[in-house]
Amino acid sequence: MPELTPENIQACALGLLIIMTLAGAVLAVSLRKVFHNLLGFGLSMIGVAGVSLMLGSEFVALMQLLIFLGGIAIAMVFAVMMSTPREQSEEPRSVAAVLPALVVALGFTGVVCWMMLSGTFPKATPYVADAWSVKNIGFLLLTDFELPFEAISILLLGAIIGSVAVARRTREPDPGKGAEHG
Amino acid sequence: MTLTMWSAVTIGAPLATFLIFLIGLGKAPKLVVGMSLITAGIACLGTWTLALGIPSEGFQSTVPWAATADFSVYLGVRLTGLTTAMGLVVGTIHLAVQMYSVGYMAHDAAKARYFAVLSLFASAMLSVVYAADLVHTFVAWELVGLSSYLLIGFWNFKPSAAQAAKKAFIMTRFGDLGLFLGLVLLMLAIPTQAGQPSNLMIATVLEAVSNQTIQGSFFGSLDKTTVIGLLLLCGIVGKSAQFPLHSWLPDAMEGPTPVSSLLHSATMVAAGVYLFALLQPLFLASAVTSTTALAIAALTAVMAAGVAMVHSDMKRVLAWSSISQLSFMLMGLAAGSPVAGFFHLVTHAGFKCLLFLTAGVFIHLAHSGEMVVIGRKIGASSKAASFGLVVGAASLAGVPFLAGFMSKEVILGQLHHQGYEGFYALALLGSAMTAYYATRMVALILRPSQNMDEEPAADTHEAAHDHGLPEQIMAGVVVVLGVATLGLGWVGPQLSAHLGQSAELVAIHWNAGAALAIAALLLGAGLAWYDFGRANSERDGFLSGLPAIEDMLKEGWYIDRFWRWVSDSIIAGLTTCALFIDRRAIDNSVDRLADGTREGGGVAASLQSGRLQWYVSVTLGLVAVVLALLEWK
Amino acid sequence: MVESLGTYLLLSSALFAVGLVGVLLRRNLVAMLIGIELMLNAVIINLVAFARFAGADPGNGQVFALFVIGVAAAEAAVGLSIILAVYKARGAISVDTLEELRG
Repeated sequence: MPELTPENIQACALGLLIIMTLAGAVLAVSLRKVFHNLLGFGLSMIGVAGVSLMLGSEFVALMQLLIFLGGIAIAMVFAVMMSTPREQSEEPRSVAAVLPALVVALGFTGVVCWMMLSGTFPKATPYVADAWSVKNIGFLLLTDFELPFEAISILLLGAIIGSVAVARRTREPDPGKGAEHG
Repeated sequence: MTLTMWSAVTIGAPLATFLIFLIGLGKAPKLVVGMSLITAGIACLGTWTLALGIPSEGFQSTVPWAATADFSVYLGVRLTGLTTAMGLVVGTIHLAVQMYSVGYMAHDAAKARYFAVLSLFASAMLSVVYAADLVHTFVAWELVGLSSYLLIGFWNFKPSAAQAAKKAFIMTRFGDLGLFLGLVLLMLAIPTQAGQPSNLMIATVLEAVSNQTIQGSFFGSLDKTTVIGLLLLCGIVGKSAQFPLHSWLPDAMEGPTPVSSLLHSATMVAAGVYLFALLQPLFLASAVTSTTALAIAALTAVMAAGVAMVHSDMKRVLAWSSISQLSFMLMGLAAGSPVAGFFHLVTHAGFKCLLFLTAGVFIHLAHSGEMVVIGRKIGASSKAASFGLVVGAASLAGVPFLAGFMSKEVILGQLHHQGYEGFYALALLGSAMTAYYATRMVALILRPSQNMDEEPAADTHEAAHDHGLPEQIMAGVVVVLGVATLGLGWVGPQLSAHLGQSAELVAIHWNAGAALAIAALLLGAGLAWYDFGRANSERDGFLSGLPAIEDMLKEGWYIDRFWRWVSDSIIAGLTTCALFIDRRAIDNSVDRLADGTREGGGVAASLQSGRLQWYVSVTLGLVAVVLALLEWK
Repeated sequence: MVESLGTYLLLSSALFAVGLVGVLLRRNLVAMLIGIELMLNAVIINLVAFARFAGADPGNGQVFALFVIGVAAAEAAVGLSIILAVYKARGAISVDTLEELRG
């Protein structure tokens, strides 16, 4: 009977979170209907947030929940509702069509894993609460990482303007073109 | 003058004529003709001087021509009894033919070229005769072949002449291939002292043979002497028109008749036999070689005589006769006698040249080569030609005490003496056939058939034609040569002495052998007279009763057809190969290249499928490969 | 297991693989976008894991992760608006309809 030590509880918790993440991811790519994929995606994001929490970064976990789950996933739901035709599912495909992509994906991942695992990594550093605090993050954002911070602000601005510009309603057509558009 | 200088003059004088022609003075035919005659005279004088002036042990004078560390070639002359005797024959016959040609070619527009090439031939032939180094001999041998080609095809507007010239050159060339290989192997087989370059001088070769230093075998089982002998025999067979390379000689009659008399009876075709005589010890050292030579010669003698019995064109008969007589010479030499075959060479040169010149007169007067036509048109009306014909034919047939009889007897005696009974029988058969066709020739011409449909054309037109200067020159030469031939049979002892042998070798033994020979003569001549000479005979010959055999003989035993078939097959085969390679290999490869390029383009184009996921897959795949390579290193 | 970097790296590789499969095999554009987001999340896990285990100031890793989150959000927004534009132009959001690059 394994003991109920903090390490064991941590290990169990990490295991659950890993299962949640991977299960959610698999659901997110394999189910036929896009809505179901989105739900799996949400589950996976919760798992990822939990993993970040386990690693020690509360702020990143919180941001993941807010942005991925609360922003991106919701936006995707909206997009799906606005664009999907009546039939929402895809036709199944044969194994022969699926196989090359699978091979490439697994091969690529395999190579990356091989590279990672053949290297040596240092041991864990002890957890120092101050280094992981929001205060430290904020400090870094405004000193060492000031330039990327400003740059990402502009990026977000550009993204907002761009997405609005791409998705807006097109202008009224010229009168000479006739009444083809509604 | 020293002997060396005389030799140089003898060989070089006719060559000068040819060079004069080459540098453009062919525009002045009288100059070329004059020079040709003068140089022929000088050459003849030179050969007599050399023959009479050599010391008893022989004379040699050479200069190095090309020398490497391994092998040297020498340019020079080697004067022995044999070489000077042959040179004598060549020089004298050449002069006679040159004088005759003045008459024969009097009305020909290209006579400058004719005399120039004839002189070239004489120079080359004398080089063959006197050369001291076998390489020199080979070079001159090929020059002789070249001038023969030029002379046979002299009337180059006649397609048949061009064909005949090509055929002669190519057939002899095949034989020369064997000769060349034999020379190369000979060079390798003669051992030399270390550090000394080897050479192919005749003296060296004969010394090696007499000391028996050519030992060993090629590839372990082919005796060197035999192989070399057989290869050299190839060249002799080609040049002297023996089976199987004989069919060029009858076709060579397309050339002017003086050319036939000089080249194809007396000198050029005799060059092969002469080479055999020069290197006789080498050939006799191997029993295989000498027996092979005997067999080829005996076979050719009978075969060619058979063909001569049925042809109706005079020059053809004489050509086949030459082939047959050359076989007799070869038989005599291959049977081991140092004198027998060569004596016949000398006598044959005399009477065959005479016969050809006589034929030239007849053809000139009758404008046809057919013996029947000549008989009707001219018959005995040309005294000089008739005289020449009778003397020549009698010598050929072997009438006792005339030239042919004396030399043929020696050959037959040698065959019998050495125990070659089978070949002896064949030689006797050949003699009988020779007598037959010689008598037939005389009978057809001098006793033409009395019962015929056309009038004999002995009209004034021909008679007037008979007395111009060219005809008189020709007739004069014929008469002189005829008289000389009458006495030619008696030079045997002198010839033998000149060659350093005893006169006993050429003596006639009046025994059973002689009786057999005379019986053969009477049989052949009698049969021919019965067929052709009687006043009311059919003029058909007994062979016309055997049409199958007669046809086969007329076609030359179908050997020509066989060679024709061989060369056609070879060319057809090569053509098929070339066509195959061209169509299937070359054309096909270009087509496949184009198809491959197009298909490759198709494959490359399929990379641009337009599908986004395909692009991503390819990119990631390549990145994975690169990472893997980096990691692996 | 909790204290070893390898676990987290394997997790992020697996998540990356799943996301990659989703991108390559789904024909619905939104589903492809989900796959892309999954890949980005794998990267975030990687970054935070290295911040924890690689010795330098952990704040660097976290800040980098925050930037990745921000970029993911911007990219999702723009991508979704493009998907809407495609829907208006083609009437479907299947990637099979976007084959102009063919040839």
